[in-house]
Amino acid sequence: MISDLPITKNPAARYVPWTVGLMMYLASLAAFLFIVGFHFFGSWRHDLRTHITLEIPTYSLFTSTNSSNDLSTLLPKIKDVVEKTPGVIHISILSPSEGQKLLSPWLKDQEILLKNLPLPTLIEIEKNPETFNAPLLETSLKKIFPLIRIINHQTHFSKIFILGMSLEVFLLTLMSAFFCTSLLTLSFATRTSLLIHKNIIDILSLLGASDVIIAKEFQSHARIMAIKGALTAYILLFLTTFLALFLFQGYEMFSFPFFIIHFSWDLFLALLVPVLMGFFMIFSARLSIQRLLKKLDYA
Amino acid sequence: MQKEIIQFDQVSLAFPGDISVFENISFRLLEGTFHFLTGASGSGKSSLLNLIHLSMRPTKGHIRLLGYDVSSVKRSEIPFFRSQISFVFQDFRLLDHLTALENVVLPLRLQGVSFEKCRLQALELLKWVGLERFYESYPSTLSGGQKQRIAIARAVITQPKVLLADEPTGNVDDQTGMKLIYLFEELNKNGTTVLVATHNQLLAQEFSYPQLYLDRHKISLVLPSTLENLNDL
Repeated sequence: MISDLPITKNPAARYVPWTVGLMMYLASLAAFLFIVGFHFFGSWRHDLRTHITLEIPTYSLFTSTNSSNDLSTLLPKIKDVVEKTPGVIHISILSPSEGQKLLSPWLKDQEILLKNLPLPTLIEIEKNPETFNAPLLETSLKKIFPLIRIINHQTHFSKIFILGMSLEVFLLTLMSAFFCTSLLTLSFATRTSLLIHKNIIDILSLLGASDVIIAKEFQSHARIMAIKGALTAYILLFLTTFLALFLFQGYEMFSFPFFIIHFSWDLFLALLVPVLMGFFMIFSARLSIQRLLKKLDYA
Repeated sequence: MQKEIIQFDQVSLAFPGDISVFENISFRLLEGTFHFLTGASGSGKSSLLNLIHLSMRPTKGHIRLLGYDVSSVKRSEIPFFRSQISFVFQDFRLLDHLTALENVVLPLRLQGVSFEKCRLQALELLKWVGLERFYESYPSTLSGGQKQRIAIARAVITQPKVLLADEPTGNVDDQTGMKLIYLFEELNKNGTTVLVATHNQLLAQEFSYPQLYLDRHKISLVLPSTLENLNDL
């Protein structure tokens, strides 16, 4: 094997590995963004389906003449009814400070107003959407306290819910197109790289090199390019991750997607994209070189 | 007794569109001989050399090389013939990103010989063509004559039985051209069969070697002593 035949020294192909690396990076990024988007909208949809909120208006407590409507006596009763309702998984009563926190993005500079607002008491219920009986809970709760409101997020955000699904489909389409474009560009870059070397292939053939030797040599060249490209892609992904962590730090609302997706098999696949594309590139080089050799003399 | 090393038997060649290059030509070259292949530009000299180098297929007829009928040779068998039949191109066909030494060793490297093993041999050949000082130079820094001498060193490093040269003096001045032919003469004296294509009749006549003359789709042998035309040998 003429491993020291320095076709990689050919200045015409100097930038090909970097182009390849960029394509691998973009494809990985596309896959990664799709996974993040999918997980983000998925968890959002899941939360909408599995959570409802009970709202006890504070104003109603002040105006009520019934002493039994005092919050300290009302809450245990409500809690008891909720816990006995089929399909309820978890119940959590939000403290006043947690309620204020929900409003804080809209009343940033008005802390005094925020503290003095008669905020309702919120009870968050995690439910099993298959077995949860909403009408039963509503009837039982209305008997205890008629002014209580059940906020079903799924109904409330039905349009946003559809929007989320549409965004998922859009993201999938966009990322698929992006991914395919990256693959096509990679294949094009591999073929272009071979065409740059066509003169060399021609000379090697005229000097008596067999097709097997030429094919092996160029496959090895493609392998080197694939390794260089994959390394470039990983370095760029690493830098992007750090940049994203830096940009999103302190934004709890947009907490960095890593915390949403954790480490899953699809993330692992996204990380494998440069390697898979490297194999695709070597395969593409093999096909291209075989086709090119067939076109050469005496075929 | 000398053996026939190249034999054309009623060979025709036509390009697509029925453009005939030559028709029914026959000739034989014996081992260890030196011939010029002459004729006007476009007479088919390069095509004839390409047929011998298996870069083209004849439209009709049979070609025998080194005792083998190559009319229907497989592509995978071509490297064997090319290791025995070397070619010197008019445009040198050197790899610009390799040094003179790397270019010269290339045919042996393609046969799997390690660089270290063929390095000394290549340096000897560079010395023979007078370019030992330039072994680390890249082709772009060399003159046309120097490039052609590197191409000759590369062509002979495999010790071929036949050396084909297509207008080797086409890109060099007359004096350098003569020096190149002297190199071919030296090779021939060592037993290599040499066939040099040139349109330069004056250059061919400077040397007392027989000429294969291509004209109007036919080939004839012009012997130096008699300058006699022997059509269709």
